[in-house]
Amino acid sequence: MNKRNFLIKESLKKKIRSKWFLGINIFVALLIIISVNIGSIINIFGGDFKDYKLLMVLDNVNVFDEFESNLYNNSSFDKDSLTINRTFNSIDTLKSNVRTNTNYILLVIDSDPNNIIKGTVYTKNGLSLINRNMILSSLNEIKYKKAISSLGLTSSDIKRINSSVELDSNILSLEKVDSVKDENNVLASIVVIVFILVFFFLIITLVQMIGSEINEEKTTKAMEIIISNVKATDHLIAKIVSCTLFTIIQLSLLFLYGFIASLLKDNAINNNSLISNLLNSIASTQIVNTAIQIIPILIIFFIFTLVSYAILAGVLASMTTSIDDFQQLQTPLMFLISIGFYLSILAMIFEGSILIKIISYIPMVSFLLAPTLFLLNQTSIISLIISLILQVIATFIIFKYGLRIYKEGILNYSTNHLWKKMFKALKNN
Amino acid sequence: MLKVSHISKSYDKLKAVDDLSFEVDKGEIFGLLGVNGAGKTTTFRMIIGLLSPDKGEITLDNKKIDYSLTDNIGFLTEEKSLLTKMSVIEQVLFYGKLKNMDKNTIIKRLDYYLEKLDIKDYKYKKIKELSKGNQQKIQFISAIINNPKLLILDEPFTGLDPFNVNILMNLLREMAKSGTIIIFASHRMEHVEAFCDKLIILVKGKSILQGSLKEIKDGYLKKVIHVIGDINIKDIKSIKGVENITNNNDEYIINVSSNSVASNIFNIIKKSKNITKFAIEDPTLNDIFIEKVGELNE
Repeated sequence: MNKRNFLIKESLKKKIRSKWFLGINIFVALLIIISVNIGSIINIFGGDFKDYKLLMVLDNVNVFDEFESNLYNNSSFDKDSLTINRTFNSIDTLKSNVRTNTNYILLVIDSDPNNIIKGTVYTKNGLSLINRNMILSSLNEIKYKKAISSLGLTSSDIKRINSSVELDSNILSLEKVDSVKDENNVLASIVVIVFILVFFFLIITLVQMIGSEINEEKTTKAMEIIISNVKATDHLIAKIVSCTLFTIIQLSLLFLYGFIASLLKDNAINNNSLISNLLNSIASTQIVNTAIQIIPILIIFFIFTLVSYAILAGVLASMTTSIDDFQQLQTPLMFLISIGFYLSILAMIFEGSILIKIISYIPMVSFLLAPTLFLLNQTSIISLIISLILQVIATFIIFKYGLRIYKEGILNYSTNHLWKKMFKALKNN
Repeated sequence: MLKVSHISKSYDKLKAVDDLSFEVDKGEIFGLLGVNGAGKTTTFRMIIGLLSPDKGEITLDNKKIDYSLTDNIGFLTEEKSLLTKMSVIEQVLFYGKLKNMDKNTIIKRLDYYLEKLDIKDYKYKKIKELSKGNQQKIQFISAIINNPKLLILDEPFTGLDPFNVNILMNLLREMAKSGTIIIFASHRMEHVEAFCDKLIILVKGKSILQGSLKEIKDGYLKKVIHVIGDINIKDIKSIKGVENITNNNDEYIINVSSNSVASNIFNIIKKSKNITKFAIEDPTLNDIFIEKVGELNE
C-alpha cells in the first residue's frame, strides 16, 4: 500500500471507529425512523386520545337526512370521534342530559323567517372548532339549497351554479412539456429545503473536520514527521479524499436510514401520519422524477464542491497555528456556504430572479443554488451543466494554487507576515 | 556517509543557514550546537528533505535526499510530535507504517524497545495519559523504530532524568556501533561532550567551529588551572596571560590564555608551600561555546 493510501485509510478509520460517529449515527437513525413512523408509533402504544362526541339533533324543520349526509361528506368528519343521532325528546330533557355529560352536543334546528333556518347548540363545556365548522357548513348547505329551490330552479341549474370554474394551467416552454400543478411547487419546496439543509450541514461538517484534523497534526508537530515521510501534495490529497469519503459515507447512511424508515412505514399498521402522507404526496409528484433524472449531475456536483471546500479548509488550517485561529479563519468559508444556503431559500420566494440565476453560476455557491433552481423549474439542465463545469474548473484552480500555500503553510509556525508569506507562496511554483 | 555541501537557506532577508558544510561517517555521532535561532532546525529540515536548500546539496551515501530515502531516516523533533489521542501502539504503528514497515516488524521492535526503556506496561495506554518523560521515550522509539541509517535528534533528552538519559545514550551508542549516522542537537553541553564524536557550532546560520571534540579542545589554547594550597595571588595575577582567578571552596580556578602561561604559573606555585593540588585542564565545551558564541554576538 502506498503512503497516500495508507494515510487515507488511517484517517477514515479514525473517524469511523470513533465513539462519536457511532453514537451520533444511532441517534440520527432513530430520529429519522421515529419521525417518519410517528403516527404508527402512537397507534402501537394506543391510548384514549380521541375526543368522542355524540351529536343529538332535534330537528324541527325536517332536514335531518340532508344534514347527516352533508356531515358525512365533510372531509373533516371522523366517524370514530363523532356520532350523529336524531332525537325526539323534549328540549328540557335533552338539556338536562347535556348538563351531565361532556360528550353530548345538542343541536336544535328551527326555521327562521329572515334566514330560512337557524341552529342552536347546547354543550356542557363548549364546542370544538372542527365540530362547529362542520355543523355550520352542513346547515349553510341546507339553507343554500332551500333558497335556490324556492326560486324554482331545476336540479341541473343548481348543479351548474354549484360547479366550480375550471382553470387549466399550461406551460408553453419548449424545455418543459409536462404541465405542473401548483400544489407540486409546494411539495417541490419541501424537497428542495430538505436537499439544501442536508448538503449545507454536510459541507460545514467537512470543513470543520478537515480543518481540525490538519490543525491537530500541525500543532502537535506530528506534521513534521508525516511530511518528512509523505509529500505535502499526497498529504493534502489524503486528507481531501478521506474527509470527502467520510462525508459521502455519512450521506449514504442518512439515505439508508430514510430507506429503512420508509420500509418500516410501509409495513406499519397505520400510515396516516402527517409525515407519511407528506412522503406519499412527494413521491407522487414530478419533483422526484426530476431529481432522479439529474442524480449523476448532482453526485458529480456534490463531490467537486466537497473537494473544493476540503482544499480551502485544508489550506486555511495549514496557515494557522492553533484551532482558535482556524475557527476565526474559517468564517469567510462559512459565509460562502451560507450564501448558497440563503439564496437557495430565497429562490423559492423570488421566483425567476435574474440576480439569483447569475449567482447560480458562481462556483462554491452554485452547488446548492443551481440544483435548487433546476428542481424548482427556474433553469434548464443546460444551465445546471454549465454551473457544474465552472465548479469543476474552479476545483482544479483551487487545488493548483491552494497546494502552493499548503506546502508553505504546514511548516510555518509563525504568525508574523502570514499573509505576505502566503501570497508569496502563491507566486512560487 | 552524510555529506552536507555548502548549503544556504534564506527566509526573505534573513539568512537562516549560510554556506554550511560538514560530513558525518557511518557510526559517528555528530553534534549540532547553537543558540536559539542559529539555524539548527532549518538545517535539520533540509537534511530530512522538508525544505530544499537555496544553494548547495545534501547527500546520503552519495544519493540526494528525497522521498525515496526517507524510509531510512529517523527524526525526533524538539517539541512533542505525538498524536496524543492515540495509544502508544497506535502511534508507533502509524509512524512505522509511514516508513513502509510491516505491522509484525513494528510490533516486534516496539516490544523490544518498551522492554529496554522499562515502559512495557504502557503499550496500550493513551499517549496523553503518560508523563512527560515517558512521552519522550515513546517519541524516541517512534524515531528509531525503522532502524534508520540516519537518525536526527533534536534535544532528545528533554524531560528525562539522568538515569533514563544514560539508558538512551547507551541505546544510541549501540545504534552508532551498528552503523547508524546520528546527528544530535542539544543545549546541554555535558550531553554533547559525553556523547558526540564530532561537532559543529552554528552562529547566525554559519559554522564558527567544527571538528572532533579533541581537535576543538586542542585548537582552543586557553586552559583552566585548579590549585589547592597557599599561593600568592598577586604574583600570579602579575603573570601575562592570566585572565581570571576565582576561589571555590579553597580551590583556586585560574583561567589562562595558553599552555605556556600555565608553565609560568607552575614555576611560581612550585615555590609555595602546602600545595595539595595542581591540575591543568582543558576548558569544557560549555566554556568554549559561551566564549565563541559570545564573541560573535557582541
